[in-house]
Amino acid sequence: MRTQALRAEATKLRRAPIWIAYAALPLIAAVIGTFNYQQNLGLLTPGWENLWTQHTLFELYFFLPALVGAGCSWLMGLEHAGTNWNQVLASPTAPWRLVAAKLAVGAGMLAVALAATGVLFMACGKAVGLPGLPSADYIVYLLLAWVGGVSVVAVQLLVSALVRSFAAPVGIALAGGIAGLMLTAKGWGLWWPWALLHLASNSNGGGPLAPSELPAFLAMAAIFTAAALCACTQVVAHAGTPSS
Amino acid sequence: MRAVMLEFAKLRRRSMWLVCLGTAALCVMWMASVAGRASQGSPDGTASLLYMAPLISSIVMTLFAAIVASRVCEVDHEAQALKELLCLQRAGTVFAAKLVCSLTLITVAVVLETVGLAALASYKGFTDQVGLGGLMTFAICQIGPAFMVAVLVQAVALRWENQFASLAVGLGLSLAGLFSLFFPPAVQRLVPSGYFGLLSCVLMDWDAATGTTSFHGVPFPWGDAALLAGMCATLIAISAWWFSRKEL
Repeated sequence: MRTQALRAEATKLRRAPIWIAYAALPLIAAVIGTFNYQQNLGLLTPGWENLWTQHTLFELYFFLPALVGAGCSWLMGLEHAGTNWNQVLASPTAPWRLVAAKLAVGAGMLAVALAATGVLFMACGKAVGLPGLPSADYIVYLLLAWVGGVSVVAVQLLVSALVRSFAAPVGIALAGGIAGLMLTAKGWGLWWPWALLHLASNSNGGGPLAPSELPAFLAMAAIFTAAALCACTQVVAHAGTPSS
Repeated sequence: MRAVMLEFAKLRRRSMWLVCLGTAALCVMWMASVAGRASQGSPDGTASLLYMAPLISSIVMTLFAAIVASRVCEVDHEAQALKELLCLQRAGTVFAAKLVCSLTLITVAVVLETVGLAALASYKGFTDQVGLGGLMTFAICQIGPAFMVAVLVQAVALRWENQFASLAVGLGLSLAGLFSLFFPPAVQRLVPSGYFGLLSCVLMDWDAATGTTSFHGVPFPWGDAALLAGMCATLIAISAWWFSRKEL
């Protein structure tokens, strides 16, 4: 019974190849980023650092949050159809388990995108002849991006639970990403969940998070995730509609 | 006309006008952060905004067009109304009405963005302000590529009930459009959202020796505009033909 909600989400994923989008987006970013890197070798210092920036700058600032928004809309989409919420809420599964299962699947899909980003970064780097292998720092960047990204998944699940439209939450995610860019520039990125995805990934080449900033980053990610999960559970618990 | 009104009626209480306003506000806020870096009364402040706007539009307007097109099609999928609707209306009429509805929403958002740009330039007292003609040209150059994206996304949104596909296409176009701005024009011409850059009437020169940037206007790119119109017409014809033969 405890894993039923998670198994139900996994069943919904079967034959719904949305993971393709999670691999395709990093692929587009990697191909174009590598081409751009090659074109601008006169301006850039050749090396893994600049290739990383070319690959991840736009992806982590704008497009991955928006893709997470689309994924969360999809995760909530089936329940929003017709009077499915009534059926779901009448089942012997607590609303928080349902939300936690969706969060787990959303975090898993985000992990697919970030793993694809890492693999493509390494493959493209070797393809353009960069020496050696990238340092282990990039694995840390990706792991921290995932931690920050989980809070984006939680917030987007809340948005998708509140807004029945499939498309609107994607726009909200993009707006969140753009606002995150502006807030990060002002030094307030930690206070904005959509900024957490890129904050620790050094995607703008401005340097990684300082060790002293790491506890605050992890704490904010945990707070945003927990708060969004609690709010989402409340919304889901009252999502039933009278059947017509 | 009645078919178009019907499409708008279906969107009632869906906050689409609010989405238009929010999109324009987002673009203007982003432009304001650019304008903030220019000094009060700068001689090339408006040119810098007109140069920056296509980059912003390639991200925001592309996704907005995808959201609008997806939303306009989703209402019928949600209600499982297409089968009934196509017994009452010609497929071509439904298809065209949805496109006109998307075009109207895109136009409203772009007009709001253009008004915001003019207000920003006026507030900052930039001395190179453009007239109504220049602003209209700018608006048309934003509407064209956004409409092209909407046409493409509508084809996908009508084909697949799952709107994840149409929004993933919108996201991909947005990403490709942004990156294409850093590519040669030949590559940009292959990406629908790359036309935001191709139709830009302001270009930037960067002097590597002094590290300064300057902006200059270029004649309206009629060739690229005609190419975009041709691609748009072809895509509309193909997707309308396909939609009229769709098995429901």
